[in-house]
Amino acid sequence: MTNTENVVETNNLTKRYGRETVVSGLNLLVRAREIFGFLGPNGAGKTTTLLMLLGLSEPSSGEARVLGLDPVKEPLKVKSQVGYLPENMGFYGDLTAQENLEYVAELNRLTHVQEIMAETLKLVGLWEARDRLVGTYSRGMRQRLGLAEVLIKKPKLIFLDEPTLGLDPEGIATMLDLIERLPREKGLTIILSSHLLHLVARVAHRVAILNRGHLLALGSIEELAQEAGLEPNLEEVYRRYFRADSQEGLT
Amino acid sequence: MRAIIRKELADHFSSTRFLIIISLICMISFLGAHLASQGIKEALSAGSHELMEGRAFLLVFTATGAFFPLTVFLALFGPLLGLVLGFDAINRERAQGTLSKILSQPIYRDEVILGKYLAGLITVAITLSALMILLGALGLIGAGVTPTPEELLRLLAFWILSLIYIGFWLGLAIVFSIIFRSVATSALASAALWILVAFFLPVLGQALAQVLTPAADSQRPTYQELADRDLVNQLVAKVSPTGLYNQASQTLLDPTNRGSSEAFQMAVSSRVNRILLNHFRGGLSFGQSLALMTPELLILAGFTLATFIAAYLAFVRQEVRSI
Repeated sequence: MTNTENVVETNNLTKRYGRETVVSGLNLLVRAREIFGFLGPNGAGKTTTLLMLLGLSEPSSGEARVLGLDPVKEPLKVKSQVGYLPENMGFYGDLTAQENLEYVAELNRLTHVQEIMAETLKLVGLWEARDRLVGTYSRGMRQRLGLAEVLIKKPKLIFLDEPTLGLDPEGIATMLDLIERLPREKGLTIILSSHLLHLVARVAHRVAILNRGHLLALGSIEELAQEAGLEPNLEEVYRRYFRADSQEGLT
Repeated sequence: MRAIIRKELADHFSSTRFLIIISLICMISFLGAHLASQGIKEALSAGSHELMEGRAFLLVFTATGAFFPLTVFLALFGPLLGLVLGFDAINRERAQGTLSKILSQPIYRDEVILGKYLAGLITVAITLSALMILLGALGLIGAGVTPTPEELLRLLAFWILSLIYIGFWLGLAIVFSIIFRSVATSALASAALWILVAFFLPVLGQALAQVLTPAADSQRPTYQELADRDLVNQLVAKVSPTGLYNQASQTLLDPTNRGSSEAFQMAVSSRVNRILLNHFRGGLSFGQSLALMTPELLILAGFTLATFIAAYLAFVRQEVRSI
């Protein structure tokens, strides 16, 4: 896969629940090996979009391509190559970290499980704590175990939904550090969904800004700032696009 | 799917609630079997060999002594085993956030629900086997009776029947675990339905029968009145899984049982001559008993299949956003 190939492509992707339109005519492009920030307030449609890209939810109209596959038609192929860290990743608290990880590996029908497990646990810094019950883990450790469960299947693309939510500053730093290393060391593409702008600004190469299901802007922070005639500061850019959209919504 | 079954089995067998319910079932069954084998021993020494010909071993499981026999006990408390294994199958995973994780792995949704159902059924099968083998051993030691091949066949059929019956409750509990978000709600709903079906429906059937077919003289009901009452009673029993299971297990494990309706007994005692009555006394063969209980078995299997399909559809059709 070359650097410029598109890992995710959506064409007028739309999701309605009853009368409510949650995602509306979304056109996204995510390139290989980039960290793609997916921004917007709570309820903007970020998670719904990720679920559609994974094939866990069916689009009402429009289509998506993930790694060249249609998630509606080939959900299993997509899911075996795409990792998803949900916003509130849960674990079996009465099992150890290693047993939790083993179960995910089994569900993925992986071979050489022990070696991959050791490698992944070391990567996220949980090797020493592998035999502890997850019920005794701190929030930061749980989040890193979640990342390990995502990475164990050796995905090409991962979706991280609010991966730093509820972490202490040190936990956030560790998490962001890990996220930054992955595209370089493992050739991964990352879609990072969050409403915490300063964190996204630290790691993302390009961002998409979403509000009420609409795509407001797509590009690198510099590009977007230039368009809006602002300093290359994500918060300024976000606020500008956002205010314009909110006024539109009022009128 | 194998991974899911393995995980669920490990969970079931190591869970505290399974341990509690199993020890409860074992204790009560052993007590019942002990009392039954005492009774059998006394009956044998009193010389009623002929009466028990070909069914002495079965009596370990069915004799109504001072206590429950296994059949009645399983009819009433077997459901609890199925319910305990299923009532939080889906909503617990949803509550702890592991469901979306499992579903984002490369497996079909069918595998999740099928794996959980099968793991529950395997657990029930192992428990039932262990229980029946232990009781049988107790009967061998306590009463000193050995089973005939036909008795073993009857017990095997009873095992399958019980598995289907408890499978119904397992499926039902899984349906509740899908439609109710809260684990407590699905536990309560399961328990309520269990009490209704196992304890109140038979009473309700009798009450209904008496209201619908009032006897002119309540002390001496006529044959026709009894027959009508039986009909209502049996109709109610046929819509209740517990009623069906009771009828089928009685037919299976008691070779002399050929439908124990009041009207039938009255007909036999008043209208049929003695020669015919004597002819009736001999037990039915296994094949005859099997044929006699086939309608009940089929309806019960239909119930079980229905709850499984309901669980399957409810789970597969659910939107993931709500998961």
